[in-house]
Amino acid sequence: MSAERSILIVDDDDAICETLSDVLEALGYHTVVAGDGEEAVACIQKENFGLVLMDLRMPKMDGVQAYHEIRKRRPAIEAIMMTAYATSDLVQEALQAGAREVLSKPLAMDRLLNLIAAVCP
Amino acid sequence: MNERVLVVDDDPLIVDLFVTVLGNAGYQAEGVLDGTEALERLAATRFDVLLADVKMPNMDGLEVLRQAKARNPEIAAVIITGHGTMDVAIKAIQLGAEGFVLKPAEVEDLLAIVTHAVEKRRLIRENIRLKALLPLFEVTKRLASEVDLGELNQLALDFALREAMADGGAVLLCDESCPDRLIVAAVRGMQDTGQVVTVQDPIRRVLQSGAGCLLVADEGPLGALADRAGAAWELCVPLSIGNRTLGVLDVWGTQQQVLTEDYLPLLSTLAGQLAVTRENALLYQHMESMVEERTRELLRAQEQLLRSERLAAIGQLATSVAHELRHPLGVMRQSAYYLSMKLADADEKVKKHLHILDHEIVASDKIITDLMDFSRAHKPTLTEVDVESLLDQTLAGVEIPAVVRVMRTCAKELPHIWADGQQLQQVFRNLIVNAYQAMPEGGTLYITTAREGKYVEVSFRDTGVGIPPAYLERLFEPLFTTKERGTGLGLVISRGIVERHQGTIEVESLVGQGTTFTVRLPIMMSDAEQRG
Amino acid sequence: MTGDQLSGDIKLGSLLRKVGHLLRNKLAVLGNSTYYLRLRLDDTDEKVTRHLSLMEGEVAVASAVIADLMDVVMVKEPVRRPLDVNQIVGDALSELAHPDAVEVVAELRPGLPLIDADQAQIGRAVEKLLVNAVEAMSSSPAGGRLTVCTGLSDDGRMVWVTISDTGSGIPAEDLDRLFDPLFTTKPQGFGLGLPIACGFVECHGGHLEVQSSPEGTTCTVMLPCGDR
Repeated sequence: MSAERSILIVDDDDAICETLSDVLEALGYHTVVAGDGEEAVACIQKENFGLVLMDLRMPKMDGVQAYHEIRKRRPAIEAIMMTAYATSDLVQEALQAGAREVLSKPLAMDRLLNLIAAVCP
Repeated sequence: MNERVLVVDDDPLIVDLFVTVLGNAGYQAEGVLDGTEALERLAATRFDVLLADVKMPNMDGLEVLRQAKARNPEIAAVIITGHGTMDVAIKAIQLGAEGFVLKPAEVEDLLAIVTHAVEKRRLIRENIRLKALLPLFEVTKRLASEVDLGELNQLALDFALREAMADGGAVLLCDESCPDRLIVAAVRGMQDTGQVVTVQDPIRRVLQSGAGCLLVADEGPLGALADRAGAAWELCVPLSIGNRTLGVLDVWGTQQQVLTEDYLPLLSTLAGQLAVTRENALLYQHMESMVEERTRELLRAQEQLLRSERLAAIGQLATSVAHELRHPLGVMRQSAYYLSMKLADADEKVKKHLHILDHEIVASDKIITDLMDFSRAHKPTLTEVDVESLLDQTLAGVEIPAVVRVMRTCAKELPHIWADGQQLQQVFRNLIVNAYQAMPEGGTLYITTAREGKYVEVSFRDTGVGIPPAYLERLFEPLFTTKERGTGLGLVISRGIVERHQGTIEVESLVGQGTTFTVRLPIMMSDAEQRG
Repeated sequence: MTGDQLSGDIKLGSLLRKVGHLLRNKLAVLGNSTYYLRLRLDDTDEKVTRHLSLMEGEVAVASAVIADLMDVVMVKEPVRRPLDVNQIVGDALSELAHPDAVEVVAELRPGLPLIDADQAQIGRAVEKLLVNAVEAMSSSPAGGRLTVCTGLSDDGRMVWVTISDTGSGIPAEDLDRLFDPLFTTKPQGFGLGLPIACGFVECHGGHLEVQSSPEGTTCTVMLPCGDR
């Protein structure tokens, strides 16, 4: 499976990771899940991904910080951030860090899938 | 009476006659034989009346009249004229003479005319004074609306200067700490007066007597400031309220323009007004600071009220949110149920997701229930409660895993207590669930009841993993939880309920051995609480 | 007021934030799973599909409820940037769900000065007003028309947005209470739309006015132009 169709899902809520993973895999993507920022960084060191789908607020290391770390190692990885409540400062922070977009939970699936398709053809 | 009269006539007999007649009538009269001398006399001393012969060598009466009036418009002037000089008389009137005497004059006529002239002058002055009062009303109104003390002083001073046609003036206030000093509160027409002035005569006299006075440079010492300004005259009036003297209002002029004492009442009135409005201003300032303090208090109280209202509003919001979510969750639950029935034979993954649906819906429901419980901090509805049977009921309603054993120890004759059975059940359930969740591998839950004086004690002891001391402190913190998906509200709610019953809830724990929660409830709540 | 109650304010607030967070996560999971099941089961039973649709719908409803809650407890100081009102309105309109019977007309005046505003907050405010307007016309099968306009005030200092619907209006006696949180005439949901929108608008130094008649309601949002 090429890196482009590999997606890393990062969220401290297991059920979110699992259900998203199932949906994306049913659509033909390859997914790996991680429970926090540190785990995510470890994952991208082991394999390459086209996209990381990440929660903004997590314990230990939050989404923006994690993405910075990921970018240092694999600059080509794109990111779509998720959050329970998107305030402007959060959105700005994420966009400045290079994320494509910030989506509010619960995710509007159509929008998410279109976005993923655009980022990972 | 007592007016000073100057008689000017080149005929010494006339002068003597008039001076004598007027002197007998009570006037202070003097005479000169010449116009120029007359003017010199007028320059040196203030006269109230001028009697001048029209026909004189050197300077005629009209010229004397003209110059005298120029120097002192207030002077009452009478022209002495003979027959055949009527046109002169008319001219004299035009120049401002108050009357004329025809030679030869009868004594009565002379006196009458002089008296008339003096009266006329008086009337004119009074008229001026009265008219001057009008602006005083204006100033008073402005004074009354001005609460800045500095402004007040300036306002009053400027008014006084204008009305008295003075060149300079000052508002001097008594220095409470030093009776020999006056503080310069406002000044006009002088630079660098410094902050204080030593009290000296004549100002001391004004302060002590409480009466205003007119000071003329030639006749006596002036006040320090007027003196420094090189003034020719000075009007000084006290600023007093009741029998308190606050200071003086002092104006002075450098011109030899002779000012009558008629301005004293005006200035005194002004000074009085100034004093009163100063007092008002001070009172107002005091009031203002009181009002400010009061306003701050009100604001604080309001903020507290707002906060408690906000709290109530947020509480309401929480309850509303919870209510609102029940419906969609209910629909979801039904649909999930249907799906799991219909798709009982589906593959692993589908079944997994159906399970997830169910699990998340239940979890959401629990969160909502917790939320409602937390925000619905209501007073207990008290009834007589049998703790033992309440425990029975609670245990019956909880699914305790088979690996956990429950041991009850009941006190003998445990009194019934006054409590809200529903709420207490919630507490018991919470503690029981916590207990067995602490023993996933199995263990024993000891439930003990006892009476301790005015209280009933119920304790729940488990033989589970125990709670480390660091967590122990934080156990009752809202949102603190060691459980992955918990809201950390259970214990907070329980404590809230127990505390509203005027009871206590305590915890002890030893890692590896177990935890004990002890609930202590009064048998009867104190009267005050009951009446709410 | 006891110290407890005072700090209770903070506790309750942070509690609600956490609860909001948690619930949003739960809903996200529900949404994901429902979507998965749809992918897998779309061609099976009609009833199954219907129930899955129903679930999706309810997830959206629940999400909207939480969104309102979050708006109240997550409110922060606006993070301002120069923004184009027309763009905000345009974005909100493109995301707006409405029945076919409701016609949407937009008359946005071009070349308006930029406003200094928090995108999420003003976007939310506009969104809420649009949703209210659509809802006012959704109960009638005849639908209605939603008109959105933007413009500049006469003195050039304020940018305005009007959102008008052709619903049956708000009764006069309710107009006063419109901005009470929790006041609603809707059978479901609580009327936080207006107070929240108003809150966002006002903390930008703007104001929100509502006019209503039996022919419809118009909400006017005024926002100060940014510094040049």
